[in-house]
Amino acid sequence: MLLTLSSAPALAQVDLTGMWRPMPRNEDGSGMDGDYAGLPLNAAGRARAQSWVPENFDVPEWVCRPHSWDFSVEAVAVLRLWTDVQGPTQQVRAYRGRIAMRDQETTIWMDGRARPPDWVRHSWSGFSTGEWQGDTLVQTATHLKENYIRRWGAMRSDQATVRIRYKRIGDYLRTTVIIYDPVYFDAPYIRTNLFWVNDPDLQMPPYPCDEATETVVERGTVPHQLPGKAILPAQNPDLTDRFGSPYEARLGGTETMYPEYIAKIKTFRRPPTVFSETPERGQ
Amino acid sequence: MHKAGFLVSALLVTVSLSAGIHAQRGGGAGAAQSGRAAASDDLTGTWVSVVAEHWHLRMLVPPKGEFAMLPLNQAARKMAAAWDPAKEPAGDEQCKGYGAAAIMRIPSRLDIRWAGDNQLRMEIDSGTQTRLFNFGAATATTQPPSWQGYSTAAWVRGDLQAVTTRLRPGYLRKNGVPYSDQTRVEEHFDRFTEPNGDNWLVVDSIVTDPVYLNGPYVTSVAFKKIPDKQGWDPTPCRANEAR
Repeated sequence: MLLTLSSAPALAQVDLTGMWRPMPRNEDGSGMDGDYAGLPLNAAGRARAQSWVPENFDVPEWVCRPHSWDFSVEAVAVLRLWTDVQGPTQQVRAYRGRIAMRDQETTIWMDGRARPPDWVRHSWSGFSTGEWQGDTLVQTATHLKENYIRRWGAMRSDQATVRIRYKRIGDYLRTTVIIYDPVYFDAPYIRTNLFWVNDPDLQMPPYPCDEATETVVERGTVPHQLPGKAILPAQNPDLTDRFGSPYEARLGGTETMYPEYIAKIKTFRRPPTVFSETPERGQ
Repeated sequence: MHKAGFLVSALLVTVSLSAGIHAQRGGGAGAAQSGRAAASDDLTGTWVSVVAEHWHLRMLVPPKGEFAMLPLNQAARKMAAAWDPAKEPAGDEQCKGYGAAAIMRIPSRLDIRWAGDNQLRMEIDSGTQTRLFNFGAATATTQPPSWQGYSTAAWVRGDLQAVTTRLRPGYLRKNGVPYSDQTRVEEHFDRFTEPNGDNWLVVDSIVTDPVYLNGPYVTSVAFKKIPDKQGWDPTPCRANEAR
């Protein structure tokens, strides 16, 4: 038995396959677009984020923009995981996943295949290999397109390497995403969610997305803001949220991720006006 | 045995699964081993919270009525609605928000050391709290309820798993969201090393409370390993502070 296990590292230690129901979550709780608190953005990442405007969603080419897999595993919708078993050997050749929202799929190759060269085309889910570390499935993805880490402009670049750890805790599934981005981050960005519940009765709904014009964006226009001109509410020094967050924290950066930053928050001016948008609350 | 040597762990999976959280107690192959000897991973050292998600809920005191993600029942909502930060009692009652059901989400540094062959001690600088994880011992039903309660622990499939009860009623969130003395906290401590050498500790918590919750409150938080006691900053319990 020891020999069998040691010669087959791709063998699953636990069963991750099946239907997984997302539990309530909260992306960041502030309710203000343009809030980067807790994100390890460097100057380039901040500039990229601040150039974003909501009209991006109205560009015809972006209306049905997929959410990349690493963003989708924040548990935004129903998840299905299944295996691709090679017939003759009955070995798991790959884990496959689908998330209902925006039709995201991933393939995690478990057969030891080589990673493609750097010049190979990038995609929303990229190229992924997997390995078992104990009972944790670890996915390593490269060849990704640039995509959101927040839906209001904060991005990871197409040069990022994303590692996702899938771990089953009883009937729950945890995903821990660690993003290494040499372009937009100063430090690894970690996000961990114990937000999926096994539910065999779930159905995977289709996600048809049709291009529809909600706000006219002139053809050939790329909506954006120039540096220092961000119009997003969280980038307005005179606005705050219901938590009373200061403007400086909302610029993000590695230091905002650590406990000692709490003392620094107290030294910042509290903006005078509370942003009035009503956020999602509770269940 | 280290986590990387999961071949042996794989052989123990069946035993561990059936024995569950109390795998170290009572008969079985592991009964004679202390928690320290049976340790399938090394969690000792100093760890710091990395708050990249739910930043506002954790790095600031949430405003009254901020219940995002909490499966509260009506009784809890009523109590939380009556919360008045100006009327929080002084003294030990300031520690209501630092109990075992909540403290892993408070931005902190943890220092974890063996206190004996069957006890792992976790010091927490925020609120200057101490948690004790007891291996191979029955629940201390006579122990008076406390902020950190009584934690039984076992190594299961490479992770430290703990169940904490005997809790003094406290706050699940610092804005007055209550948990009762009937609360049970199940935790899974998962340590791993990334290719760049970073050591991470992910703590998954499943909080159940028949008095104030309609269902389990499940969370996952990350800590990064740092040099021993680096940045260690013990604070008193403070009802009006995030840590």
